[in-house]
Amino acid sequence: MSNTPFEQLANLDRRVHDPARLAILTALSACERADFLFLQRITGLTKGNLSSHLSKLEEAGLVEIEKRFVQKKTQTLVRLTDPGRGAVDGYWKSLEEIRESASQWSPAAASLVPSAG
Amino acid sequence: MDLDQIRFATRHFNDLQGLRYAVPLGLVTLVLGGVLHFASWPTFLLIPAAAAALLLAFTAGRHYRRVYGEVQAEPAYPMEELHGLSIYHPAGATPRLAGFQQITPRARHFLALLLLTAGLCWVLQLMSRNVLVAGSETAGQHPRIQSAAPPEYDPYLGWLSAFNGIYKPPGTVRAIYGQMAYAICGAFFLGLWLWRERRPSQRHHLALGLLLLGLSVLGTSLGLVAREDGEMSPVINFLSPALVYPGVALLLCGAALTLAGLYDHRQLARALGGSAVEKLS
Repeated sequence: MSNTPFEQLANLDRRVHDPARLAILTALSACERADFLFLQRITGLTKGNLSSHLSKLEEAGLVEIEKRFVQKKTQTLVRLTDPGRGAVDGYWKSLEEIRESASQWSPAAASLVPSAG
Repeated sequence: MDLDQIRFATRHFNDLQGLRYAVPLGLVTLVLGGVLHFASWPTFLLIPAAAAALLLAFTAGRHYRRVYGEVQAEPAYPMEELHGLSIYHPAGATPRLAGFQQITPRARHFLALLLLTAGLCWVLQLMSRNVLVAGSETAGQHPRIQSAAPPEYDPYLGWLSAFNGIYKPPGTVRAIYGQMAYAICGAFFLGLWLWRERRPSQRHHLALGLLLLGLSVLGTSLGLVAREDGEMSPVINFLSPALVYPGVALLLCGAALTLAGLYDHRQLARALGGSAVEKLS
């Protein structure tokens, strides 16, 4: 457990904390699964950017990607895995803890102010 | 767009597709209302209207899939909850819960509100005296609403007078159809507002729901304000065609559905047209 909000911030899950990946994971956490086009429209990312972020999330085991053919076209479906759902929940929980500890934090309490004498 | 809006637009992506559901339903309701209200509108007009609505729903569905993609919504009830139930559970085995699982929260909101409205209208009907509605809707006549004199009962059957509201003259029955249309449509809008998390952006559903439910309750309680000489307050007199003519009621409900559908479509187009990540970073 980190002591200061700064340390807690530094320990945030980097896989989730990136704005683009956070937007993707937030959208996926609100549905069973979504296709590539929808994720592109809701996040406003370019195809290449979204593809790169999805690959990283898939490597980390946070999302599952399934490709299928619909009327001779490839459709890419993405869903959040159970660890992915846990990571998103954990991320928000951590942020809430940081918010709470930041409201209580003061330099004196953290012994950052050198004592006189 | 912030993360909360991303979550909302994703969760409600399918029911925000106004051109696919609400607008076709609204157009059919409008034509049905027109057929009942205008003498010059033939009944067979309903067939091309229904065909056009189906075509619009199909084309809009394809448009949404092609332009905005697809989202599979979360199940109404998480499967873990159902799997946790054994055959010894009082609720029964999992397969027997299949029907239960199909009742979505949206349907539950709608049904609960509809039952409440129906109950309130029924009580008001019982409490109020019968009214006589004179005037033809198709002839474009302004309705004249009079309080009906209570029937005289044999002294031994005097207790029946407590149930005067149950027996309706034929003219009043047509008015009740219109009031039912308001109740169904109003409960639908209010249910949709609750289902969409009572967000400020969904206040149009609240406004439409309250307006239509208000018309339903006002129409049902006409017996409380109607007089035997047919005189009415100017406001009630102005509203009376909407309160007693089912054609006008359906025209209003159809217009409300169409407007709500168009507004939903606009919201969806706005939500999926911006660049969320740029604003987040």
